Amino acid sequence: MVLIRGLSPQFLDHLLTGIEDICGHYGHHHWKDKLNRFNKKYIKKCLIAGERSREPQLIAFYHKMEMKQAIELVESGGGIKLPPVVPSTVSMQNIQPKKPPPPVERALPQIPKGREDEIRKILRGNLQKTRQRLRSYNRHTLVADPFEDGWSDLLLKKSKMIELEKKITEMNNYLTVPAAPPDSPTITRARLSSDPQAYQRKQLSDSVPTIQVDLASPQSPDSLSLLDELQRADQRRELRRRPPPDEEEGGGLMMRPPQARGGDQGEEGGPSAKEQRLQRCLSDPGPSAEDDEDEPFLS
Amino acid sequence: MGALNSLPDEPQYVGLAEKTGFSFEQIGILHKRFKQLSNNGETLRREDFNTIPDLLCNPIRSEIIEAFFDRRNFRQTDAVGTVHEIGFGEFLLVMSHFRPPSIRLDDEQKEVIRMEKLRFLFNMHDTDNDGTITLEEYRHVVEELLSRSGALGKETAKGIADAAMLEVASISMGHMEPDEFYEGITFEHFNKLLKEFEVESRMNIRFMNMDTTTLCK
Repeated sequence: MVLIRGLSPQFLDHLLTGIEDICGHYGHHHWKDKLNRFNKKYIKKCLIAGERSREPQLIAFYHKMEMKQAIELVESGGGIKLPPVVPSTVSMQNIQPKKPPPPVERALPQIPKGREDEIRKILRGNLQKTRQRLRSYNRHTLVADPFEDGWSDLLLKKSKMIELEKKITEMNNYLTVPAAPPDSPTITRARLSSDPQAYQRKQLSDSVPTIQVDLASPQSPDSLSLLDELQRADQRRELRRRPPPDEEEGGGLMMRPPQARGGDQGEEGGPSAKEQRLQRCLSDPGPSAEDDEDEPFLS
Repeated sequence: MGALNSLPDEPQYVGLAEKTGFSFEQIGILHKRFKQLSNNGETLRREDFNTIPDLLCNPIRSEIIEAFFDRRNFRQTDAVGTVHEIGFGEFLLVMSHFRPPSIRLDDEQKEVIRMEKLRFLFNMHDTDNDGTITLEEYRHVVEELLSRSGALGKETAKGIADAAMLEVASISMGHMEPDEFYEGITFEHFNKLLKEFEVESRMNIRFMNMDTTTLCK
């Protein structure tokens, strides 16, 4: 409802201005429109110095962009409740007439690279910080603005997600796990341990052979926070991308593509045990945490 | 007022006044304007609208002009299709969609007026007249609305249109199988979406204040 309602006044404004022009009647739409155009064209350029003369446009642009992204998020099942929109199964697939659904995660068309992307990033960075700083007494929260209510949380979370994703890719390059590919079992297990509720695995007995992983440097606070962030980010990522629960329940062992779960080969046997062990490891950084492991993977 | 004395076609005006609800005075003024645009001819064509300089800056210019040649707006039941030229009568009929509703109307009559105005808006979007505003049609409108003004790129406008459409589909359909296809926004749903929009009070031009002296050349 939000978008259609938002666009309708604009449409109507232009329509009425057009009709006034056709009548030759200098009504208030005519003058309002003329003034706006004049303002945009000349005054702003003269009075506002340099690049800032383009700013208001960009802010409006930014808002529209974020709205669009928020809708995307809802559509992709972001797991964040949006008050006015009822979660539904309708997706881009249902409204696109001919093309098959695009294979990428984001179903809505991507904005082509270039200036718009740049602008968006810059704006998000700057405006998001401003928003966060001013949250305590932002005038938008003082006067109930239905447009921003609920959206702002969504937008913040979304932007955090994106930032974390960025961090992950950066951090993947700097992990100090020896001889480990980017998606090493370490990280995989970190993901697994972070998401016990998402993966409804049955409790298996400890007798099932497990492969334990010794974290390279569990004591260092850096790696701890790294894992923490990875876990949180991946948790969110998993929430967004995981398939419906039915698929997961089927038959125990499942191979997953590396991006989603990590290359676990037949290790799905004792995840709960692993989870416990890993979590213990995280909370208690003492080196003795791994002494009772059956088969230390890395010693 | 000078305008009253220069009404040449009064008998014709009676019929038009009844059909459109305009007063004789308003009809006279609009007739003058019509003659200006048509170069004193009997009919108007699409090109004649290009002589209006302010209209050229309007992002939805083509939709507005099309509305004047769309038979669905001529208040003839079930008329469809477009025409190449229109007479003053049709011009006036299209204009009448922007007349503010009289205060004396009761709720039922107001509802009729509201539906007429809404129908006009719907027709502007549903260009192929299949009774639904399809994704393609809506994209076109949004694109013109948002990217012509230069603020947004074409792809962004397209994205916004898609998001809007998705919203409408989600709300109206709720659950859809992956292979189901949402045809588009029907008039009924369009009405529901814009229920609180108060189109009957917003989609108006103050014809009463029109004066021949202010008509632009």
